This record gives sequence, structure tokens and C-alpha cells, in this order.
Amino acid sequence: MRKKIGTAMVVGAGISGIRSALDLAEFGYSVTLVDKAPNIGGILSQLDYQFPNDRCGMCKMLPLVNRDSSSQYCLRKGLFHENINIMLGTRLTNIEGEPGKFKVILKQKPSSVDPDLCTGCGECARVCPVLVPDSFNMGLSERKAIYLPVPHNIPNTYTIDFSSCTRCGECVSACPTGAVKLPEEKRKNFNILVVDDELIVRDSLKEWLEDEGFSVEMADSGQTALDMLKQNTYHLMLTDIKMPGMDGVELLKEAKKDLPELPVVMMTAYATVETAIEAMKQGALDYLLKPFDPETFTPKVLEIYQTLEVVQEIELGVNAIIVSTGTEYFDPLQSNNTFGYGRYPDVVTSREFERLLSGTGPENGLLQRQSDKKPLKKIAWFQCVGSRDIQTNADFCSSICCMHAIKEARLVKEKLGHNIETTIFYMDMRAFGKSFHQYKNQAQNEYDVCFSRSRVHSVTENKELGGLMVQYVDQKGTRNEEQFDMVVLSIGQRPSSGTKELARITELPLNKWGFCESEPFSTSLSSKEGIFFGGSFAGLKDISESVIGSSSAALSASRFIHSIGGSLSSETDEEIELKDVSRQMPSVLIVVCTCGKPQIEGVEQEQLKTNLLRDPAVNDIVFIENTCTALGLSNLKEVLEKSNANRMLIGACLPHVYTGKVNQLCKGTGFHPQAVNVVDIYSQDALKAKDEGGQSLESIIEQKLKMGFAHLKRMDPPLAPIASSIQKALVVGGGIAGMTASLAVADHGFKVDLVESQDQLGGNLFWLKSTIEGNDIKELFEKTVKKIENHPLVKVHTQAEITCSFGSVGNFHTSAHSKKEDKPLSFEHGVAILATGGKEALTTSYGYGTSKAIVTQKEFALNLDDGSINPASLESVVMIQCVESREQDKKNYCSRVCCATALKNALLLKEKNPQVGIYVLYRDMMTTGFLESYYTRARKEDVIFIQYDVENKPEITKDGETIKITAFEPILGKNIEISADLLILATGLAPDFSDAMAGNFGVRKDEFGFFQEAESKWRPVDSLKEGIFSCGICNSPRNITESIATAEAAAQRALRILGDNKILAGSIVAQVHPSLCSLCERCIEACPYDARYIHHENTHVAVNPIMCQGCGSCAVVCPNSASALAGFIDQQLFDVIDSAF
Amino acid sequence: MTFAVRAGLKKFNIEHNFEVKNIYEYYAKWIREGKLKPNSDWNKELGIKFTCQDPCQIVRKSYGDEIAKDFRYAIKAVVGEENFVDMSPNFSNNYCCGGGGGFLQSGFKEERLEYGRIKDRQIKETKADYVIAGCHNCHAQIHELSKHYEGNYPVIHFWTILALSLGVLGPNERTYLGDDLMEVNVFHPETAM
Repeated sequence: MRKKIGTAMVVGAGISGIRSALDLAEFGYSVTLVDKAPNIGGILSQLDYQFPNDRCGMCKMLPLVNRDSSSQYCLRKGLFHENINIMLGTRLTNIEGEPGKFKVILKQKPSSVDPDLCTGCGECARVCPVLVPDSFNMGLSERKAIYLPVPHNIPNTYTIDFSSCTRCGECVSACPTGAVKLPEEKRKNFNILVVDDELIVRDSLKEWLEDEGFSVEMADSGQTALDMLKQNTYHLMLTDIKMPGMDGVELLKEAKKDLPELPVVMMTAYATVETAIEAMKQGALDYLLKPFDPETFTPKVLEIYQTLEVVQEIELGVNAIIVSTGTEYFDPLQSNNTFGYGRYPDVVTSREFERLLSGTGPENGLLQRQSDKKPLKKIAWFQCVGSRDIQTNADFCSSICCMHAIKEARLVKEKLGHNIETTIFYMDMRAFGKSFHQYKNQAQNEYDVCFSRSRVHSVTENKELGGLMVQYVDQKGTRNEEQFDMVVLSIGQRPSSGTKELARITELPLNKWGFCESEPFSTSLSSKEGIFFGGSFAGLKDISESVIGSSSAALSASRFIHSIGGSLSSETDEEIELKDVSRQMPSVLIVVCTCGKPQIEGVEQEQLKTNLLRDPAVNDIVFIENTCTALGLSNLKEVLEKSNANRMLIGACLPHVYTGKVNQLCKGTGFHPQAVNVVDIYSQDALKAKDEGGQSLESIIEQKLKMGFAHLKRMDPPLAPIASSIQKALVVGGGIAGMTASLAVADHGFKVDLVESQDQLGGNLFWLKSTIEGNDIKELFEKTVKKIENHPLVKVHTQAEITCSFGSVGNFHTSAHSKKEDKPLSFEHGVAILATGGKEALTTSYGYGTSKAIVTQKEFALNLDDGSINPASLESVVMIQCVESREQDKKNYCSRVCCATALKNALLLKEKNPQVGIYVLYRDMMTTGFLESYYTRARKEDVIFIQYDVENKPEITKDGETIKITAFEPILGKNIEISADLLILATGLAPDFSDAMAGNFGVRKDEFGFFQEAESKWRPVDSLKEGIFSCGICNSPRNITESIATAEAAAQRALRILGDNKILAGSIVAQVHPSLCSLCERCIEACPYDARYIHHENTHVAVNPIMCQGCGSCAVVCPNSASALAGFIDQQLFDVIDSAF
Repeated sequence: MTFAVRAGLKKFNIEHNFEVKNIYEYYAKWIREGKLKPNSDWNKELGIKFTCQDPCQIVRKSYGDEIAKDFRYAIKAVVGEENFVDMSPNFSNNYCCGGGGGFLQSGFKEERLEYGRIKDRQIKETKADYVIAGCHNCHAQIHELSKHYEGNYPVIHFWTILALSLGVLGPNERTYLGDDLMEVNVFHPETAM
């Protein structure tokens, strides 16, 4: 394993935090991943399906080289990487020190359930008498007070929710391993002082608090309280505000003089809330609203108690911090709620709907009408609930909801049948990302999802038929009323609840909607050195943009740590050499865990032992109690050390729990992890089989053990192949993406060759002046080029064309031809980053080319710049969006940048000439995220927006110098004619990514000519061929900032490989028996990773172990069993099958 | 003060040293504090049913459900809890009377009455005898709806019925009352003093 050269902390363990952590860990940093929740995964733990394939696929983010460093296990369930330390139930409370040498203070809630002892058997939850709404299912189902936060997590330790726990102690006595401990004693030592002038309030509070186990004392006035504070120690003071004599606020001030650390909570009636808030500014911790009832009061105090007392403070030194705490969702109850959310059970939010659709959801995925549990026929989605809505302070687009709604509508059709009617009510359908538009078209054409551009007014109950009546106004202005069985509110994003606190701790400013915003031209740089933003924390992003953004954050953090020399380095343990047992006779030690229920007793154990020992390959069979606990493991280690066995079989309950534990055990003993097999002998089906089939438990256990044994018997634990790797990168394309990627790699100390076909670096930055936000592109261009030119490790080759490339990850050989010097160039490199860019597309539509007054957006920018367009002389300007875009056979994708460019140009014209009339003819305004506010501004500045459909496009006629545009105005319901002095066409972006380029590097192009990524959500900048990455416009249409983010992400992905001079493959890789291979090449076709090739002697097919991911597809298609997967050879599997019957 | 002033202050961020409040909040407050002492006994035997309109500008667009609650609290104190019938949907979810947004003054009478059909239907569904309109604009529109769709329910302002219950409603302030209330004079001990 690599030496760790620095430490980073990632706050927030959602998909973004996981991506950043994995990226940094793979490069060799030690990472602490922190989340306040008791589980990792964030919002995604609740989402079962992601478009475009409507599956999960999160596991595709796991390491592809050095695979054994992380367990290859469902990432949604758990993350196990040797360089990542996960701390759950933990909050960041303070940052001290300076950038590069941060001292962070974390507060971790110790769990009352010991994770080392908890086996997740669920006995505690079975006996728990408390039922509360389950937040995992958005409150649609119920859970116990002791529960699993995410039912599918691994390892899955039960958690106690103290705000609902009655502390009856049932779980403590039910736990078979003694893992549950209630913090009774601690509460008794927690002294609370209650100050109130009313006796009845004091008495009832005392009673409630003592019921919860706290020690309570009372004071009837401020003065008494002060006296008492001097005499005794109190851990919390609750004080009324309105009291005769010294009031609560005064008491607070006085108390804080002597005891500045004393937590004080104000109690107040509704009328004096403002006073309470004022008191918080003077140091009060919180306030509680009167009148009290125990149901609301007790949980609040418990919450305060949890944050104050129970938490454990941890101090950590880290070099860099990545904040990726994500976003939260808008609560419709916080608005006027004209859709009746919370009032009508059939109105649900998109997140609730996601749970209702899920097989692990409250209704097992059997979607039905919530009000009367009748079957559903019609479902409606309302877009922009809490987005693009000034009334709820959301002058932004949440960017994710359109695709979310389309996905849900398609899923409904797939799961419940195509006869279910689905309608999406929307303003603009923002299918702006790569492949989004196709996905939407499919939904419309193949799935019959109805898209209704209209404004929903309200929802009422349908008293006769059940379900709901939706009142809406369509584009013509007609009022409609339609019956639906269910309404799904596509709720928008909001800053996560901890953002304010994080902003305070990090001293970072918030924008007017409460988000932290990143620096210009970056999605990850904060205004503070050493602190970076990952994922949607600093903006509104979907999964793939979050993944890109968090890789970019990892890059920024890594670059920063590298620049300061990674001072907080920690050395890793000496590597222990694994015993090579592949040539030894199998001698298997069988370990049976005895904690299962029902247990097997002495006689049955003896019987089992006799039966199993009949096979001479069985070394011994031992019984250990609670094998997975710390004690059990140390017992196991002892047994193992004494034994002369060379393979080990463990029969226990949950095999996945053992992944990390087995690795640890092996590290200590030199035992090969692949020589250990864990089988589930106590699973549900084992017990079920017993009930139904009448088979005895020991015979089931015996059968399962025999299957595991059969697999292990012929196991030749392979040693992971190692290949050397060239620590140099090749970057193709010298636009902003290519330059950024080159600098990012070179700043880590690796050599970079940057190949550009033009005579100068810069690409589209040549003609762009400033962004819509007003950021100076020229300055960025000059600064970046200068950095490239001055960088000692970047070698620029202009006027050079790639001629061919071959090789695999770690070892590529590429040739190019330099036109400048007219000579061939050749490069040896470990990775390649393709950033060949793209251009404004050409067009012949709308009379382009027939008049000087008809220009593209780029030409407009250039003409404005050189003065050939004078804004003051213009009276009327028309812009047409989506020219030859998003149409069948015509760039059937959204170019993403044109709407923002149109707004930028419109606002620029209005600024120079407020009198000019501007008409924007658009199909859907794609102003996602914070760009929406510019759309709002443009409308306020009288830019007229006219929506058109692709079936009814605007028409152009020329009348001398003036151009007449005829378009259908949907609100007026008639054709209108606009005379324009200038017509600006948004022709979109086309990639500059030739077939030859793709062919040379062995990567694919998508149907529109862009780089085909390995996976649109989880691996957006990788190709399926490991070692080749892409960024910028040749990857997908994007603006400068987004291109830079992809470039940084691609660089970060590349650095994982460049970081070492050797590449470690996984232990489980495919092999070929040359003598059996008939060279039919079926396996080469089947391999999704391009890991197979014909051996240079043309005798057999060979495998590149580094590229092989151990999927086994080749072994399946091979007609001769020449292809096999190490550890899963035919004999093993046949043996397993044989012993199953 | 009108809604426009409130909205304008907010929209243009105009600095001001006063708060914009609605009278219904104060009616409710004064009644709770005992400063206003309306009596609903007059309606005990009559049993005249009232419903109310939630004006967009006051409820949905400004103060939300809280003010609608206050409004109902005040109405119930005046007409008696049992004599109030709510329309559906209500509070922030109530529909516009159809005369809002300047519609009442803009012409397009036919369209305006067509939009008002929903309001009229809501009112008729409550089977209430009277509608209390919380805003002058709503009053004019609903008054017209009552005639146009022949529901012929009287539409009154809140203060009319408040004044009636306090025994201070003058004879020339009864234009909008129906015949059943035209002659009702409440004896109020404090007013009589």
C-alpha cells in the first residue's frame, strides 16, 4: 500500500462526500469522512432508482485499480476502504489553526448500542414497545425507538432514538450480546435548574424531567436562581422570560458573567418570541415555546441534552477540509400550500413517492391510493414546488426535479403497467444534461408520459370518486379541472439545515438563498484557503454533476495538500507478506459461530463435527461464540495462530459483516484473505427451510458448511498481479479544460505533455469576454496560459495531431505529428486526458447567411466587440433559441449554454440601450441553478420571452434591411409579427471529437459525437477503458466553470493512477488456459473493460489483469472453459453445486 | 393602508419605521383581551348562518393562515360559533372571488363573472345565509355574483355585523343587510350606558 502523505477531512457522507473521500483515499491520502447522520449515503440511501438506466449503480464508483484496498461491496450499503475512516453521528463544531494545519473539533454521539457487539439480529426492536414515524420512509411507515436508520446498511448497528425512547429497558434484557446500554447514570448526574415564577409550571417541568431521569432543582425568581448557581453546579438552566423582579434575560446576563459556559434555554410565550431570539444573541442556547406539553417539551430538552452532554469531543489534525453536506428539500407546509399537502393523503412529495415506489418502502412498492388504498389510475406531478418561486425565496431552479419527475413517471409505467396515466405539469422542461433530452423524449414517445405546460392553481378533494381534483390553466389560458388519484409535488432543493452553522464555523459567506457559493470559474474553491466545496453544497446539482464537483473538490484539496508538503503525514504499517498457499494440499479450518438462533447444542455439535471431519481436507472444526464481536475475533485469532491450516471457513450469520474483520485478521496473521470464506448458516431461508421442510437445523448447517468448504477446497489464493506504471500524463486539447487538467496533474509533480492542434492555446476562450455573472474570461485566459507556459512540468506541443496510440492503463504509447516542426512526436504515458473541445454549430436555418443582420450568438459577441454592431442604433432584436437543436436528426440534445448566453446578450444590450426591444423565442428556458435569477431579471427589464414548439417554428421573411419574424404567441393564441434589425441564432454546441481520435485511444463516441463516458452518473469523466479520461465540451456541452470542474475531476481520476509507479490489480481476475483456448474471440467481445487481447504469438487470448475487473463475463461465454475467474473455477463451482444436494 | 403599500415596501426594500398590520388581527386581539365585547346572543334564536371569504391580498398573499384564523375567531365571537359555516377549500387555499387583480375595474365583465362561478358554487355549497367578505373588492364582486347567479345571499362587511352585535349599527348603515337583519337592534349594556 502507498504511503500516506497527507490527511483530509470530508464533512458529509452523501454521494459527494463518498466520491471525494474515495478519490483522495485512492491517491493515498488518509481521509476522515464525517456525517451527522447515523449512516452514510445521504439522500441516495432512500433512492432506489436513478435514470438513465433506472437502476442504482453506485458500486461503479468503487476503485478499479488496486481493487482490494476497498471491499467490492454494494456501496449503497457500506463503504470499506483502508484509507477512509468513517465517523458517523458526528458533527463538526469548530475549526482552529491555519490552512494546511487545521485542528478540527468534532462531536460524536456515542451510540448506546455498542457497534462491536451488535449483530443486527433485531431482537431489541422486536421487544421495543414504542412506535414512531420512520424518517427513512419519510414518515409513511412506523419504526421502533430502537431501530436501523437505514435498513440495508452494512454493518448495521441499531440506534436508539432518545427523543422517543421511554427507557423501559426491554431492549437491554432482550439483547443476546449485551450490546445495548441505557445511559441512566449519566442522566442522574445531569443537573437542571428550572426558573419560573409560576409554581405549576415549575412542578410540572420537574415531574417531566425527573421522569426522564434527570436531577432537577427549582428557583422561583431570578435572584434565587443566581444564588443557587453560586452554590451548586448545574449543567443546564431553563428560565422563563417574564418574571417579576429580575426577568429571564437579565438573569441570563448575570449568570453568564460568572458562568460563561452555562447552557441556558429560555422559556417563552408566543408573544415574546422576539425577546427570546434577542436572548439567543446574548448567549442563550435555545428557546422553548409555551404552553408546554410533555410530548413536545421532553424531546426538545432531550435534544439539547444530547448535544450538550452525551457527545464526545474529538480533536483531529487535518491538512484540508472538503464540505459536502449537500442540500435538503423544500417543505410544502412552509408555503401557502395551495396543493393541500398534509391535508389530503393523496398529495405526496417526490421524496415520499420515491419511498412508496421502493420495494423496501412502507408499502413494499405496491403503489396505491393513499386515502383509501384503492388502485391508482392517474398520477400527476407538479414541478417547481419551492423552486423558481419568489414567494418562497427561491429565485433559482433546483436543477434536479424535471428529471426526477420523468424518472418517477417512467418507473410507474414500468412497475404498475402502461395503462396508468401519468401527467407532468411544468413551466419549462429542463432536460439539460447529457442524455437527458433523449430520456425525456423516450418518456414522451415510448412511455406515453403526458407533459402539460400549464399552471396548476389548486387541488381539492374529489368527494364522489375519491382522489383529487386538480384545477389548472393551460397555455391558452383555459381553465381545466381534472381528476387524479395521486399528486406528486416535485419539491425543490434548499440549503441543508447545517449550512448556517458550517458557514459560521468556516467563516464563509452565504448568498441570499442561504447557499455557500464557490469562487468564480470553480465549483469547489471557497474563499478560504484549505476549505473546499464538494457536490451540491455550493449549488444545485444532480448526481453526475455532484460526482464531477466532488472529484474536482478532491483535486483542489489534494493540490493544496501537495503544495504545503503534506505535513501531517502518517506512515502505514509495514506490509505483511501473505503466505502463498497455492501449491499446498488444502487443509481447511472450519469455524462455526454459535450465537445464532436457534442454537445448536452439544450433541448436535458433536454430530456436525463427525460428519464434516470425514473429508481429509478438513483440518479441524471449532465452535466460537459471537465470532463477529471483538472478543470472538480475538478467540478466532488465537485458534488460527495455533492451527496449521492453510484455508479457513467461517460459518456465521451475516457474511458481509466480516469483510473488514477478515482483512484485519489476515493482516495480523499473514493468512491470505482469499483463503477465507464466510458462509451464512443462520439465514432466514435456513430457518424457513427448517419450518417448512422439516429438515433439522444441524443438517442445514452441515449442508451450508459443505458448500462453503467445497468452494474453499480448490481455492488457490491468487496474489494480485502488479504492473509497472509510467507516471506521466498526456493531455489532448489546449482549451480551458485541457489546460486546467494539465496544470492540475503537473501541480502534483507529474510530467504532462499537452498536445494542441491549433497554433495557440485557448480554444473558445479566445473569443469569450465575460460570463453572465460578470466574471472576466479574458483574465482567466491570460492567467491560465501564463501558468502553463511557466510550468516546468508541462510541455506544450502546438500544431500537433495525434496519429496513433496503443497500450493500457499505466503504459500508453502515443505518436503525434508536429506540423510546426514537421516531425513525428512520441509520448509514453500512464494516462490520457482527452479535451478536444467543441465549437458553436453551423446552421442554414432561419435565413442564416443571406443577410448581415442574421448572426449566431458567437458572431454577435464578436461583432459587438469589434464595433460592427452598435447597440444604440438597434430598435428591435430577436433571438431564436434551439436552432437545429433538440430535434430528430438535428443535434438532438440540449447544448446547455445558449439560454444563459441569450440572457447575457439581452441584458448587455439592455444595459447599453434600455430602449431596445428584445424578443427571445425559446422552447424551454434552461436557466438551471442560480442562473434562473438572470431570467427573472431579464423579464423585469422588459425582455419579451415567447415560447414556441418544434412543430410550429418561427418563420423569417426579409423586407430590405429589416427581417420580419412571424411566430405563434401561445398566450395571445395568435401569430405575431416582429420586425427586427438583428436576428441572433442560438445554434448550440457541436463536439470536436473525431472518429480517428476516439479510435486511437480505444474509446467510444455517443450517438451525437461526444465522448462516451463509462457511466453517466457515477463515472462521468471516465471511459470504460481505464486510464483514458475526458473533460470539457468533447465530454458534454458545458460552460467554462462546468468544463473546469470536469477537467479537475478528470485530473483527479488520472492522479489515482499516476500516484504510484506500479499498479496493483485485484485478486479476483480472469485467467486463460492457453492450451484450451481456440481463439474464437468470444471473450474479447464479451469483456466490458477491453481487458482481453490476442497474445502476440497468436496462440491464445490473453488478459490484462490491471484492466480486468473480475466480472466473469468471459468465463461464461468461453466454450472450452479456457477462460476462468480466479477463485471461481469450474471445479469449485461444480463442487459447490454438488454439495448443495 | 392597502396591499399595494405593503407589497411595495417589501418589493423595493423601502426603509420604514412602522409595521403594516391588518385590522382583523386587532379585532381578534381586542376581543381576546376583552377590549371589544361583542355578543352573539342576538343570533341564538335567529340561527342565521354565515360564511366568509378569505381575501387573497390579506390571507394568501400576505399574512397566511394565521390572519384567517383571527378573522374566523372574530366572526364566531360576533355571530356565534354554531352559526359559522366554512367554505371549502378555505384559508390560504381559498379561491379568489374572481374580481381580484384589478379585474373588477378592467372590463371583461362576462369573463369576470365566469371566474366568479367557482366562488358562487363554494358559497352555495355552504348553504349559509350571509357571506362576510373580508375586503371591499371581494364584497363588490360577490355581491354581484349573488345577483347574477341568483343565489341572492346578502354580502356584508365584517364591521357591519360587528357593529350590529355591539348595538351601534346605525339605520343608514344597513344597505347590505337582508330583511331578516334589517330591523335587528341589539341591546348592548356598555353601548347603552
